[in-house]
Amino acid sequence: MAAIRVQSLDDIVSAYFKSLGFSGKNLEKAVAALLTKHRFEIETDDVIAALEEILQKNLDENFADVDLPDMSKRAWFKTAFLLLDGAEKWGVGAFTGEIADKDYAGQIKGLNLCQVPGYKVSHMAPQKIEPPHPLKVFSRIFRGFYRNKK
Amino acid sequence: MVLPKDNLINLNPARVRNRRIKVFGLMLLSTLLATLKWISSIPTDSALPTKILMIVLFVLTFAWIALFFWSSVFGFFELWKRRKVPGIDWAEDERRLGSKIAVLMPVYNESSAEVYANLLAMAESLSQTGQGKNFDIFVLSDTTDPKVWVEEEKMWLEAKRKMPAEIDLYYRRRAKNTARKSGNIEDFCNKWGAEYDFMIVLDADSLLNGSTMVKMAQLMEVNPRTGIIQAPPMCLDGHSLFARIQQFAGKVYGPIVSAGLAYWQVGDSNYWGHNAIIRVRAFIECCGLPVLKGKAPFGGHILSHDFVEAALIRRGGWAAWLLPELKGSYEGCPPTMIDFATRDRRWCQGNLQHIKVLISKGLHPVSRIHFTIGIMSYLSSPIWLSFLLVGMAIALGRNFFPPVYFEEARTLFPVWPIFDKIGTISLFVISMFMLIFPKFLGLAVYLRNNDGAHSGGRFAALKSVLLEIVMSVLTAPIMMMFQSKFVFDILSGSDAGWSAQNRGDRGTSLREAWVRHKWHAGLGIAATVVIWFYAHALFWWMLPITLGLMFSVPLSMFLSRVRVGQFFRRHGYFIIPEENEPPLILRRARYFETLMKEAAPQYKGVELVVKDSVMNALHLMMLEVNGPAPEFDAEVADSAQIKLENYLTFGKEMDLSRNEELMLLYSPEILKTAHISMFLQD
Repeated sequence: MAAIRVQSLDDIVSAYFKSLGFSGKNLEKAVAALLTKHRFEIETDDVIAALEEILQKNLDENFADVDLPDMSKRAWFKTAFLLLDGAEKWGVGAFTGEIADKDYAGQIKGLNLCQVPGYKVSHMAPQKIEPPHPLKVFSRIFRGFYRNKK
Repeated sequence: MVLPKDNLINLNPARVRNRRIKVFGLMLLSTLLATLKWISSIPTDSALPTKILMIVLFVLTFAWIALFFWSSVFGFFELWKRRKVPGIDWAEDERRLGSKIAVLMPVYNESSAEVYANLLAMAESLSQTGQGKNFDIFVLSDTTDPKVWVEEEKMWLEAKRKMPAEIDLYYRRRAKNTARKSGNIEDFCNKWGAEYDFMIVLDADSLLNGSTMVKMAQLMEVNPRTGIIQAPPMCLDGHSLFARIQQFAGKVYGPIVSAGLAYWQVGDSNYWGHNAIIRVRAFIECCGLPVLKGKAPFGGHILSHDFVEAALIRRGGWAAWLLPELKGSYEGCPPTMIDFATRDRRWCQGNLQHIKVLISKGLHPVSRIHFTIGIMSYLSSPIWLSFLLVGMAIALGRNFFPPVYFEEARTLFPVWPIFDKIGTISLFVISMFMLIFPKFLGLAVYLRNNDGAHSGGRFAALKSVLLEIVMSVLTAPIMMMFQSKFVFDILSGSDAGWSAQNRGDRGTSLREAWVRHKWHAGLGIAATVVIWFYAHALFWWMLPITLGLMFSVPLSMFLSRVRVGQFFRRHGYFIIPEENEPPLILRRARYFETLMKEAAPQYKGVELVVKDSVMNALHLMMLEVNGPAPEFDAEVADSAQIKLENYLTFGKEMDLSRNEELMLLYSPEILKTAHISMFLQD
């Protein structure tokens, strides 16, 4: 796996938020708010996993009705968050679930980033495509001939 | 008149029978008469096996021409009298739809900008009908090129933002493209089909007016025993001379061909794989395709699935219609002769595979005729070639082995070989008439329906038809050689594979033309020399064939050029009204294409997913629906990660192989971490 060189905790959290569109003071606030609230061990991948876990928890609470597997759901949220410029609009609150704008979930869903509708399963059974048996063709001809004679 | 309860269509079966008796009866009668004439024209001193071979080849070739001729003649009368296809109930235009319709766009390594631009134009047109909310659009991707895959995702997001609010645009990519296009549609039916009443199947270059799609759905609603309705697509937006000739021929001759087919097929028509609406329930019940026994090219997955699906749906008790009355159905045309031949190679294999299906149990006789026509459209080339070769061999044989005037048994008079020259010439003239006359019938209908205001006038149409005939004469032998080789390759077990179709206007280079046509040119030159020296009497008769072959390389290049196409346009050749005044849907599609191309990302593939935050998130969001990732070799995985590492750390070019790139695109954790580490680099 592409490894992240050992960095400070601040750097990793900061990079994570930058990837979500945070910058400048907004970024500093986000990093500070998150680090105050959560404790992390300094292992790069673990930090990212922990951040993803925080996000997932928030999504499970605020977007329980969005029926997507965990990874897709986080990615779905991030896409919408980026497209709506969530960093500017809602800051880290949208990320941790502490947010004043009660309509933000509606706005995220309103983007309608639904890749496919829910499954409604059917089954297409393979049809028989087979030539008639030569003997059966003969028997059919003779059967027809016999009937006609009658 | 009360129709039988089990009648699929609203027409007396006797009328349907009469139509078929007329077309096929006349075909058989004209073939019989021509064959009798031919038998009397064969040189009397030919050996019996040669005679039999000549007769068989003649019957097959002539019957094929006769079917085309009579079908076109009846098509002409239908159009001239402005009669609609009988037996189907026509819905009122104002009818509100109560059904749910999926519009399916299967893609395979196509230009994403064009695909989504066409969909946006169709969605806009649907929205303008006021019935857009009944439609959902699905892009069903079988794309294997990693860069095109990421581009499709990006373009999906762009197109979704531009879609009318009431129409949903969905995107799904299959990790494994089992059974190609038919498998792609089957996958849709298995997962989402039950949600929809009808599906409209498109090709990557299809364009359908919203009103046409609504009309198709209305017809399905009011004809509950109908399984398929095919709207004949018209070739459009060609720029090279080859493409312009095709679209002109499609515009002028296409209607009588379609009307002719509809005349005798009625409710037992065929399906051409796109620009058609299908009843999903009927399709799910009847059209699961089996894997044919044996290896490719005859065994394995069914390639030309459309004919088979139409036959199966008909076998399942549903009607299939070809309705020339449905206008506003368009498709692109191959820009060069080589592109045309490449597509033909695939179709040829698919159609020859139908030999196995043709005799399958329970099929409707008309479905068997469809298969026979499909098979014969490719077999006719080697048959024609054999016919020419046998004819040449007889002429050469006469040169090397002069006729024996006095046989061993003593006779008073010499035995004169009789060769009915006048009879042969008259058969040749009749064959040419049967091939060319329908073109003038098509022209008559075209001129009646078009005043010429947008197509350069009536004289321009006439001179275009004449030049088109010349071009057809020159290109037909080349296509005959191509198709004969395809048939030979397929019979010797060579598989066509699956390559994306070229739809862009790029001229054929000298190198490309030489590689594809060198044998045609060589054969043309050799045949000309041999005929000149050893069968001089045939020289002028064979010249139209040998000329096309000899000049196949420059001809192929000449036809492929956009500049040449435009030159002929300026001089009033091959102009169709849609060229001077493009339909609104085409104009909108080109407008959206410009927008989509402007939105095209600077980076591609993995690089885009790693660099762009939205694309990183979007790609990970979409990955789950693709299904399980394919397995990659450890070697591929290792080298891909090393290259990515070098890119992230040292800024080196990634230079990933196709498999390495695919492997990375299927690795969400790697992509996510790589993306975040881009910001650590800052």
